[in-house]
Amino acid sequence: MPSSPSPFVLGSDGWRARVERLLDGVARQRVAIALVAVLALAAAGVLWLNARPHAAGPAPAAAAGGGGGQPLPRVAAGGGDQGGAGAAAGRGQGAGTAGTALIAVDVVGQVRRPGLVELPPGSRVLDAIEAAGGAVPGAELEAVNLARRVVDGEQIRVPRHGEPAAAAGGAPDPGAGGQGSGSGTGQPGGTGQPGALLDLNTATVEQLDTLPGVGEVTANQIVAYRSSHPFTSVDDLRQVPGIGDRRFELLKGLVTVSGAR
Amino acid sequence: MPADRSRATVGKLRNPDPDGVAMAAAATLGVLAGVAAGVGWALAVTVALAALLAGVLLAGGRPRGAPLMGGRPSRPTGARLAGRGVGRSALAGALGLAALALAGAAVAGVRAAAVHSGVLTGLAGRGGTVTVEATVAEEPDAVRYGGRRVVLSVRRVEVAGRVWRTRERAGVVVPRGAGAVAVGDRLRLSAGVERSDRTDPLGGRPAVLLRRPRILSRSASRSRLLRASETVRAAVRERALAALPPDRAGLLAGIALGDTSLLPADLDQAFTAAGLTHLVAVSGQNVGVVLAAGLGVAVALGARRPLLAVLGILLVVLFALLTRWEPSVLRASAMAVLALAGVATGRGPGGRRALCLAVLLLLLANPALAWSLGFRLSVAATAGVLWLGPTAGRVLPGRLPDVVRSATGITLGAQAGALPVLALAFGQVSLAGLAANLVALPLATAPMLLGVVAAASATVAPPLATLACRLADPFLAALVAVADRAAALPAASLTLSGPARLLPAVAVAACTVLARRRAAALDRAAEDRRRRRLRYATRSHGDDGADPHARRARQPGGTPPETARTTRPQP
Repeated sequence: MPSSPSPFVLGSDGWRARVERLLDGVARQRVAIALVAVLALAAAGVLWLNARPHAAGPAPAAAAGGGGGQPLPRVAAGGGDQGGAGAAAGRGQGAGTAGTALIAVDVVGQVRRPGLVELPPGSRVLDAIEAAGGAVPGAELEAVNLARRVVDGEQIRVPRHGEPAAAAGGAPDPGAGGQGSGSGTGQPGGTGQPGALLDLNTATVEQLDTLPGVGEVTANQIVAYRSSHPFTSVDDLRQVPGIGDRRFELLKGLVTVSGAR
Repeated sequence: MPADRSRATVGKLRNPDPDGVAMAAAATLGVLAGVAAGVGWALAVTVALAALLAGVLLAGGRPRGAPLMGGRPSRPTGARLAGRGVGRSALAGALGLAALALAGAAVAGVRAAAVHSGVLTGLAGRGGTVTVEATVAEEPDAVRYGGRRVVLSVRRVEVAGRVWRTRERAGVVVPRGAGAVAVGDRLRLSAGVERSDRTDPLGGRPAVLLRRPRILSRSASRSRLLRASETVRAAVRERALAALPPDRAGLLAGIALGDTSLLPADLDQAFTAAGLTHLVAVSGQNVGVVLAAGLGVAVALGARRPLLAVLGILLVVLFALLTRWEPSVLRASAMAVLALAGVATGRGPGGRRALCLAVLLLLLANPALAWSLGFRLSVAATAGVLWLGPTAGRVLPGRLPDVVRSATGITLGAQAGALPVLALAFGQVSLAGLAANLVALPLATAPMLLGVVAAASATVAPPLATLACRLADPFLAALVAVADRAAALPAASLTLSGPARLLPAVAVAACTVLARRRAAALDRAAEDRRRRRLRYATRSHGDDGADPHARRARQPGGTPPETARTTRPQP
């Protein structure tokens, strides 16, 4: 090959002739070019049809949980012209829905009207007891943390004077009462745990500290995480730094999320 | 007009494929413009393209064949330049280039829109957990702590009780405990979503990352071919580990199949410092070695030309599958297929043309490749080999055998192409790389071939694979020694920052100009000698030699340029 003349060195015609020769060379391949361009366009069209996200109905688990009425995530609009613009709307939407949906709590024991009461999200145990007509004389209110926020599906038991408080409360079944929370996956079990579930969005560091496997550091991580991303489902706990699969399995039956949507 | 004709021929020698370069450049610029212009333009671009296509086909009268491939020389254009049809032909050419640019813009625009409006893209950074169903799209990369970085092609997203069908890419780091992940595996996992800061506009590197994944279920690929290739890769690793010490086993898997999962970190670093990283990725050299060996065997068995081309294409496709269609493999495979098609149709391999067309077609098929560093490097190095290599080999001083000249020219050309790209991307230039490559490239050929032999026999005849690994061992040991020496040199690599990153490009350009001047001087000297001999010959034979072409063709030493082009070696 080195014996062949170098391709760069000979000749010197003007740039016009060179450009014309170049365009002439391209022109002789116009059928092939047209073919390639048409194929490229067809591929782009197929891609466009396939890649645009489209809803495929509600998730099976969520439909069973009665969460079918959830508003669509804002991404739905993003399929059109201005994609990610909806990302900011998430927070506002959460606040809006929280004002309308009531949570149900079963108040039993030493109250005037035991039974189911409906409360706005964020209510305290005191509100629940008042909604049930208030405590009857002889109720041991000191055994109940009146300041605790109540959780949907929870049972609050107001004991009689001298009755042990430990018997109080039955955990709600998170699978049924999850209020359509989260992706609807991985929320089994948890029933039969004594004591009320801890609300990840409202629990204090001290309360989180009492969870098994959660120390002060992890509790602070959880609080730090929720200040930037409020929990929308128990599954979100997995996204908190320091909580791996094993701890998540341990915790998911003990915590809940309410009032986030 | 004889003067005009000879000038046209000479002009063709300057750069035989200006139209191929122009077409590839048009498509590339179109892709960049499509991304820059944004999503709303996709429709307008499409309409404009349709109009242009009509124009292209109508302009310029009757189509005179369409040599999409091959080095068929264009007719000397003097007559056409002087006379009829220049305007219309040029118009058709300009329209053709515009059509390619618009096709690139349309494809890139649609891709950008798809990335932009993806479900996961919209959810990124909002907190919460999604459940996705996805397929592993690329060969997983090893990351720290035994994890693997995986690119997923997501089909289905469940979020907040809704299901979305989609087609987007997402990155995820699968921790060590989750077990092996292979290309084509189907996963169902729940994870958080966040935006990636290492993405590109077309999502070649995914725009979103799935954080802290929990794998809910998994199943192997449905493609039997993919599963088989995974088995072969695993078998090669096993054979190599059985026959070689661990570092050389990792090197063999890297050199032959681009499988770096066994490569020790210190060896990897030595190769990087020595500028030899491209050896542990699969490249055009691998494809060339595989083709040469496979077709050599076929020729020995008596296969003829059309069958050879088909065999070659099959071989290239299988090899690309086995090496996980890395961008450099895609480039090399596309070029090889185009060159083989050229040979099969009798047009000759036409390396430059094959490169231009490969770039054009690959970018239109997957515009995200324009943002892949591997693709850029591969194209730049190949262009260096094809355009600068011959000149570089020619101007080497001293009396050298032609083989050494052409081999050195190829290495120098590849380095000249790759260095500016590397410097712009990393700000690091491996000074030791030039010398290391000159030694290492020939050494690497044997392991490339033996590794493929091992891959072919690992599952059916393990002892043969073990033997191939053993045979490769001395070459691997030599490569390790070269890399270690080169990396240990003082100032093995230079760090550039800011505008200094452009220095290698400037240096390469300067060297190219100098080399061309030198080559021109050599050509003039050769021409003078030829003239003198010619004068002597015509005087003795009484031939007046009115036609310069006839004269040149009759010269024993003077090969006509067309023939010379088709015999150029394929890198």
